Formats: sequence, C-alpha cells, structure tokens
Amino acid sequence: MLRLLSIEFYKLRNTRYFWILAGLFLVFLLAVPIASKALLDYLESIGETIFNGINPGDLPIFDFVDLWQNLTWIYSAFSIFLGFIIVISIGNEYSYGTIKQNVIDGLSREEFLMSKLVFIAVLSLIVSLLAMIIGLVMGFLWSPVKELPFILEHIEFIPAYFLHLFSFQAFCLVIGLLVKRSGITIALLTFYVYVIEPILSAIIEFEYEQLWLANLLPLNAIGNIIPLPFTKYAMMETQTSVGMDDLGILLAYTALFLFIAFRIITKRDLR
Amino acid sequence: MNVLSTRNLHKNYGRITAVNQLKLEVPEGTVFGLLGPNGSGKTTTLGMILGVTTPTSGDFLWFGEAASHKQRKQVGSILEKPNFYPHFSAYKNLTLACKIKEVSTDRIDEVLEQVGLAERKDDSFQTFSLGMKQRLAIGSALLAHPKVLILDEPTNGLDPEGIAEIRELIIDIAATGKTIILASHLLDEVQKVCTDFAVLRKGNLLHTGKVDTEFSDEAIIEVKAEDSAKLLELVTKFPAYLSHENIKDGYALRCEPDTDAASLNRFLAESELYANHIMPVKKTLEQQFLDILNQNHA
Repeated sequence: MLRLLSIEFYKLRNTRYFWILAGLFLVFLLAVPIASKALLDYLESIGETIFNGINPGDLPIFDFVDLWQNLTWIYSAFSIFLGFIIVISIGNEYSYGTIKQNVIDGLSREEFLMSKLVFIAVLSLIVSLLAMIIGLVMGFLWSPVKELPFILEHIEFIPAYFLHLFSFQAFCLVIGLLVKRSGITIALLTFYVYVIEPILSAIIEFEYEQLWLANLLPLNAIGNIIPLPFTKYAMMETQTSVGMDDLGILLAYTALFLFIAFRIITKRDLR
Repeated sequence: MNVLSTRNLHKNYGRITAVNQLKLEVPEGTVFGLLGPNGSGKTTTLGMILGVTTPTSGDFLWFGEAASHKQRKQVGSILEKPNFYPHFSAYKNLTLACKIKEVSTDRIDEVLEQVGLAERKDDSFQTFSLGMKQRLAIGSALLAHPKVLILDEPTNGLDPEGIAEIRELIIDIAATGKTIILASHLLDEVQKVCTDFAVLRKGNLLHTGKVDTEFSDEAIIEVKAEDSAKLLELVTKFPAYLSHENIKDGYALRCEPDTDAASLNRFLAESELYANHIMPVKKTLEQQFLDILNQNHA
C-alpha cells in the first residue's frame, strides 16, 4: 500500500497542476471561515433585521454543535477541485501512454488502480483532518460555548465529509476512466455537476414530486451525507445529523464506483 | 530452457482476428526477431505477453511459469513508442520506473551512461529527440537487470544515424547474454541483429528458423565480365550452378550450399574468361521472406 501511495505521490508531486489545484483548495479551505466570519460580523454591525426579520450575523453559524455541519457543507460544495486532480491524473496516464508503460514495467492493473484509490483515500483523510482542525480553531475563537460535549456533538460530520470526499473522487475516477481525455472529462464533469444533475434533480423533485428518486442521483447521494443546514435558521424542517439511509446510499454508490473502476481496469485493453 | 512459450494465444478485435492460435517458443539467449508487415499482429502479440492487451483465448508462460505482473519486472520492454511523463526529467522518469520495478535507484546513472544520455539526465523528456526518447526507453528497460528485453520496432522513425546507434546498442546488450525479442517489419534489421526469427502474417505464424543457417543455405555469387554472353554460357556449365538472375553487367548465381567464390573464379579462369567482379553474397532475408510468403500463399 505504502509503495503504491509513494508511486502515485511521486507522479503528482512532480506536476504543476497538482500543486495549483491543491493550493487553490487549501486557500479556499482557509478563506471560507475568514471571509464568512467577516461577512457575518459586518451584517451584525449593521444591526438591522434583514432576510425576513433574521439577521444572519446573530445566528450561531460558527458556534459549536452547528459549526461542523455548516462548515463541512460549505466545503463539500467545492470538492470538484479535488475531482479535477484525479481526472487530470487519469487522463494524462492515458494520453501519455504511461498507464500501459506502468503495467509493462511490472505494476499489475489492480495495483495501478489501487495506487489511485489509496491516494484518494489519503487525500480525503488529510482534507477532512484539516477541516476538523480549522473547525476547532474557529470554534475556540468564535464560539460562545466551548465545553467538550458540545464540541463533540455532531463532529460525525467530519467522518461524513471524509466519506463524501472519497466517494466523489471515486465518481470522478470512473468518469476519468470512461472518457480517458482529461480536457473533455473536466468539461463534462463540470457540466454534469453544475447543470445536468441539478436540473434533473429539480425536475424529479418538484415536477414529479419524487424526492426519494432525486436523492438516488449520484451527486445527490454523495452530497446528502451532509444535508443543507441553513434552512433550519428559517425555521424549516432540517436534518441536523448524518442519516443512516443517506449513509447506506452513499456506501452503495461508492461500492458501485469501485466495482466499475475495477471492471474497466481489468477488462479493457490498455491502448 | 524457453524464456517465453505461447500456447494457442489468440486475439479477436470484433470480427477481425489479430493473432491466430499462436504457438511460439523463444529459447534463452537468442535475439529473436518477430518479423511481419504492419498489421501482422506483432504488437498485439507483444501487448498480450506484456499484460496490456487481454487475450481472447490461450495463454503463455514466462520462464516456464504462468504469467503474472511480477515476472514483468524481469522483462524490460518498449511497446510501440517510448511512453514517459513528458514534463519529468529523464532521471525522474527512471526513478519512477525503479519504484514500480522495486529496484534501487543506484543504477540510473549507469544506465543513462550506457545509452548515452548522462548529460541530458536533468532535461525534461519532452525536449528529447525521437532517438533520445527511444534510447531512454531502452535504458529504462535495462534498469532491473532484466533477463529478457522486448523491443517493438525500436528504430521506427529514426534517422540513419539514430538507427545505427540503436542497432549497436541492441547488439551490445545481446552480447551480455540477455534474451532479446525484437519486433520489426524491416527484414534487413532482423537479419543484421537477430539469431532466430519468426514470420507473422495476418496473425498467423508462417515460419520460424535460425537466421544464420536459413540464409546461408544456398550460396549466391555475383559475377561480372566484359563478355557477358560468354560468361552466361560458361556459368551455366559451372558444376555447382543452380540458377541465375540478371543483374547490371552480369549475373547473380544461385549455387549449391557452401560453394565458394574461389572455385568459380578457378572454373572461369580455366576457360580463359577473367571476371572483373566476383562477390559472394548472403541470400537476403528479403528473398527468404518472399519465398516463405509465396510457399504459404500457394
């Protein structure tokens, strides 16, 4: 495992796109809390009631208990940065012919895939740990409650965020393996994530009123592990914990992505 | 011992048969030429024995054992073209190959020296000429002290100087006792470099044999003289004569095996005809190849 990880990291650490995308993502991880705190402080300073009588500055958005879900939900909207890394990496392996050469040099096809998967898992782990550290720092700086039970309540959103990241990148891996060309995959992925599935989801949910079916769309399944939290501040019914049904759907999808990836890698000629 | 044995190896692409029930034995220590025109199934065959192309049926043994990726670490290979990460330096590309093959990086400098790229080791692969890329690929293939080297059209697209360099390199490597499998559509290349050869056509194995014995079987002697009419009359009476072909100012005689030029020279001199050109030529692979194709076509 360690050998496969070191092979994949050696490939990536010598490329520019990896550091640019990883750097952008890191900047974003740090900028989100700082920028939104500044915005909330500004709104609070205005002091007037806006948004139907609620001033967002008064809400406990970055206070413990609420913090974990709010933070990971915002972060989860930007997972596509990490998706691009995997998609470019797969596309390059095909266009350079290096996937073929790796196998010729003595990597089994399964090992090739595992090297990508182990890397995805480690990257997801690092990012979710980073999110936890950022969350703790924010909480200690800004939260009025700092007692341990409150800190730990709903910290389950951190492992949920890990699963979300891993699953999303596994999804990107499959798309990358299917399309093979990084440029086309990036365009396709972006279009699917921001246009096709949202529209499809909205049609199924609002036109046909089949919410359960909309929840089975792959990106909804990957995203629902961290439900949208902010509706609760508008007194709407909101899920504030990780749902077991959502977890099940996500795990099933992840298993499906891995199965498809293994099928493609082991059955298809590498040309 | 056979380094490689294929047992009814077969590959279909849809309705097209790329390789048909191939049975091939590559003995240890040979330079084995896999010869055939483009599209004859050479690369598909190599792809299958290297694990990148999935066989439709049949299997193969490396070193007498069922194939696995571990054996590929003992096989240095280039398939079709040199495949490297374009932005990485030569040194980094070879470092990665070492990680995959699980060998130490100690030999990288030595190997780069051997293929003449030591001075360019920190330059990125994309800045290399095709000949340099090809040499880097051979260097990469040599990293793990492989028992077998597989080279697919290693001189394809190179200029004459590059071709000569690569051929010298192959001959040098063969001299170290490694088994080399060389796919080529160039008859001349196989004749110059190989000890054994197999001919493939439309996925079928037409012929296997040894380069030395098969091509020195019948002696070909070129002979020229001023009076070509008299020359023709005489040579047809030469005891070892089998047949002749016209060449410029003379004839190429096909003679019985082991006929030497001196005996022809003596024979002509005895009849007081003095040749101004007598030269023994090896029967070219080209002719042999055409013979084989014709035999199998009939």
